[in-house]
Amino acid sequence: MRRVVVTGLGVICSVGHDVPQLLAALTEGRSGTATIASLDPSWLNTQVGAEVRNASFDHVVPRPEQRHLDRQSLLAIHAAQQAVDDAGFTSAEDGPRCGVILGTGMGPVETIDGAIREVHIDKRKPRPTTIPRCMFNAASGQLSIRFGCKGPSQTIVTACASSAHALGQAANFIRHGTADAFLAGGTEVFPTLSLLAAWDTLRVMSTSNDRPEAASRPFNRDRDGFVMGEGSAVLVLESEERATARGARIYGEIIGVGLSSDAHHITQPQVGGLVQAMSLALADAQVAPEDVQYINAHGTATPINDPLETEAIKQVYGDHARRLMVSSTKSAHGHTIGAAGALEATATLLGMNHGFVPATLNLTDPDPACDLDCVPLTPRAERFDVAMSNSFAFGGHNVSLVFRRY
Amino acid sequence: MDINGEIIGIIAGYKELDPATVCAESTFEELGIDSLDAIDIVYEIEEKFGVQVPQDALDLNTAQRVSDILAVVEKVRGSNGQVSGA
Repeated sequence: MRRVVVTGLGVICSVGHDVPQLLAALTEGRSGTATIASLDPSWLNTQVGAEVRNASFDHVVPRPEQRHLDRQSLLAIHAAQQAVDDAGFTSAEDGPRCGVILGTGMGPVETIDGAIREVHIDKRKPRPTTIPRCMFNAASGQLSIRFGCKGPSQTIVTACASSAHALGQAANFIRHGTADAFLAGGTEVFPTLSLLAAWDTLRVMSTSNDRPEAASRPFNRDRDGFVMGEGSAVLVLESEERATARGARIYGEIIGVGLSSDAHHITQPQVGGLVQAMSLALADAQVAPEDVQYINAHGTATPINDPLETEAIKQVYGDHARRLMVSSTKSAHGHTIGAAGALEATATLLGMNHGFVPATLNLTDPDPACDLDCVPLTPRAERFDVAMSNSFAFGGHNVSLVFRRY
Repeated sequence: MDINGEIIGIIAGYKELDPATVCAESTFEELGIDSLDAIDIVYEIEEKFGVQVPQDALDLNTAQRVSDILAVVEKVRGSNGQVSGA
């Protein structure tokens, strides 16, 4: 099988509108959570979120053209343009060998919500741009068009595992020779009021409204749910041959993809499914558990996820679990749902390339049921060469990816 | 302002252009208007003037100039009755 390398990174999220800003936030241990500003949350239990604030897309999409795009496409184009520039990527010579795979969880909800409002409340016809904006595949199509990727182009919808699936799928396509390069990642807008209210009634989000920056507390004893986030992360993935032939800088290699489904419950995770995904990823990577030094955990900070993930890690890694560094960067950038896997892969690769392990912020009082080394409060200046990134989703979808220094 | 002037204003506003640079003879290509823009502009005109442009009244795959939009609005004004938004 061919080797797959990462040659470009691009992000936009609550803690940064580009990679240098994300890197600064991770090394400074800064949270992007604040009182929700894009809508009125005053009647909800949860009033905090990790929104992308003051973003401008005018430099990547001329303003009149933005009428054709949902915000999730704008976020994806913003991130993809960075990744393409960073990688020096061009499809000019081999467009049919280049593809796009993006993940999204809740999709282009601003447009869908807007059309519902137009029809049911305003009693008007929806705009003709509604469908081109609200197709779940719109963002993938936009990237394919803009960057000349004429090979496989897809959108994967698996809630919080969407963009981890996207990276895994793109990596496997390259490994098997289906294509040579991908723009792969995910995009997620902050929920509209109706969907945020729906999340609110599900009782899975933090209600620490009085201290927003400390609302996301993965592995902490008093954690009270996840912080809803927003953003996009897009990576340039290439076959080793394509990248080295053009002398590209390489951030790391994707060496293992582990995929599983709990086949159990639509919202309730199960340890067996998590264990299966991690074990398959290690086997696929052909590394021993002892070779892994860092896990970027799913680590949502919900009461149920964190101890379950801890238990699954122990089952997979055995005694080595005690020597692993395990952190959740959701404590910084929030839970970006369909963008989470790609954003956390980016955080992992930044740590690998800049010699630090990202911290779990707000971890002041570890839950005894989450008793691994969760890198509390401040990033650790430590080199790691092999890392795993976990993404587990409603629906029972589980993805573990393994990255290695190249 | 006459109806045609208002429609040209809508088209210029949609593409964020100076209305003085848009005239009946302007081509969609010159103005950067693609088929999706054209459909959306017709929607704005319908909303503004309270008219309905029937699906078969304007073929946006063959329409090429601002004058094509002006002509079809002129035609439907006749059949839809009084224009209200002027």
